[in-house]
Amino acid sequence: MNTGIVLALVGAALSAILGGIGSAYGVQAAGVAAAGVCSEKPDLFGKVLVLQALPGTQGIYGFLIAVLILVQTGVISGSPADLTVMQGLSYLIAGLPIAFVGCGSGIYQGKTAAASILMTAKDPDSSAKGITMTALVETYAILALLASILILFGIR
Amino acid sequence: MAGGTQYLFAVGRVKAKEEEIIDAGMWQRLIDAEPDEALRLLKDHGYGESGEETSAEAMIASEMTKTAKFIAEISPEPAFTDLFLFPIDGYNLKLMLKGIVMRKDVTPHLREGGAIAIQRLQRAVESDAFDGLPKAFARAIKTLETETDARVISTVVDQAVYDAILDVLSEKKHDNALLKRYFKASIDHTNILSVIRAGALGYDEKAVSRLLIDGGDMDKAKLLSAVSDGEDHGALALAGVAAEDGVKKALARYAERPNIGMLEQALDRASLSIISSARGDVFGIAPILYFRLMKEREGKMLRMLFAAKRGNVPITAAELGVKEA
Repeated sequence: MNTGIVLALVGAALSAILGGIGSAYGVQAAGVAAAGVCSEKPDLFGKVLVLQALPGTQGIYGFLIAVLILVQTGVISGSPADLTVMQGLSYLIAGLPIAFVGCGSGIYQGKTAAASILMTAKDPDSSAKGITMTALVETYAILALLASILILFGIR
Repeated sequence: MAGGTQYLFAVGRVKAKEEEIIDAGMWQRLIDAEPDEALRLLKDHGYGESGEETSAEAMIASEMTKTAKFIAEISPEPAFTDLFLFPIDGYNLKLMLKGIVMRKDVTPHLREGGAIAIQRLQRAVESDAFDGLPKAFARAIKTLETETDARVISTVVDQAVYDAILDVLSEKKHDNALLKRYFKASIDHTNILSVIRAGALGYDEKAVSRLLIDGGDMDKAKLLSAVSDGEDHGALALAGVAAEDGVKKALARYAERPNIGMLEQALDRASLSIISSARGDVFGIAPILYFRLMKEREGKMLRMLFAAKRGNVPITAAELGVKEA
């Protein structure tokens, strides 16, 4: 295993780890708020569950990029490619957008989801508004995912 | 310090309960209804703890107890929420001390739910056993051992309540800028009411200075100078030195149409607005305190409403302070 492949693995690990941390925090924050609401109004479970799930996507995006890096570098099939340092560095860089943006947007989306859950607690009819507001934070995670994919497929 | 997630859970529970706060529509129905019908409306709204209370007062008292229990159950930092229980201890202490002066048994009138157990407070008053009592309360009891003037007793106890609160907030682990601001504003509002009342009763500056509480942000000299201006002009003079817009407006309105009840309500609202301004912080104590204060205010408004109904006095939503609720 050469330096190039190690750098590519670091890129895959970072995208999975940071994206996962962002989502874990976001889902946890929204989940705590949802638990508080459901302990008083159990009938709102369905509405708040959707909001709690929204910050979970960053972890999926990070995992997706990690898998794509592992597939492209042949690690997943058990025969790692002989990458140059520059190629390895390129894979590492490809993982960075979703790693950092995924982490940050997961945390912030979680906070927005928690606030929307609290809004839903006060006015159950406003859950759709809450979903829209929370989903808007997702935009930046999607853009980061696209950036990671474009960089990934641009590596020669 | 409690973590943000503990607050999130508690705030989630509070927000789900905020729907229970009586809204403007419900207030209007209560105002329009006959006393019995108003009681039934409250019961249908879920007001009261058991649903079996037969009088408005019993229902309000039971709802206050329910709210206090709920807050105690969810509070991530009881040190902060317990600060709002000290006024109950202050009320009990005033009653006990005034009871001694008037040689009357006040036990049936004491209120449960304070931060200090009634028995402990009674022991302190009767036998100077100050163990477990906040230092400010012990100091006040010692100071008032031979005092017979009811107004001075009230002022010294009020001072003890605020000192006890500010003592807690001065501890490093309980440092909270929002609560300090709230309680300092409450001291200012109490002093403003004392000056206005004293002005109406024709007290001089020396007499009023004994009724003012230390610890607020308003300059005491400026407060005292308003006494000599008389009731209406004094209110305008106070409006000139008050820092908050809500207080300035309330005093200006009072100067135009003196109504101490409405001024009290306006000052209550000004205090509440301090907590309200921070209630968007779902990782902090403000939403929990806001709910508590809203419920307290709701109880006060209901007491006013039912008192008016008992006395057959017409009362409007504005007089109750509903518009700003």
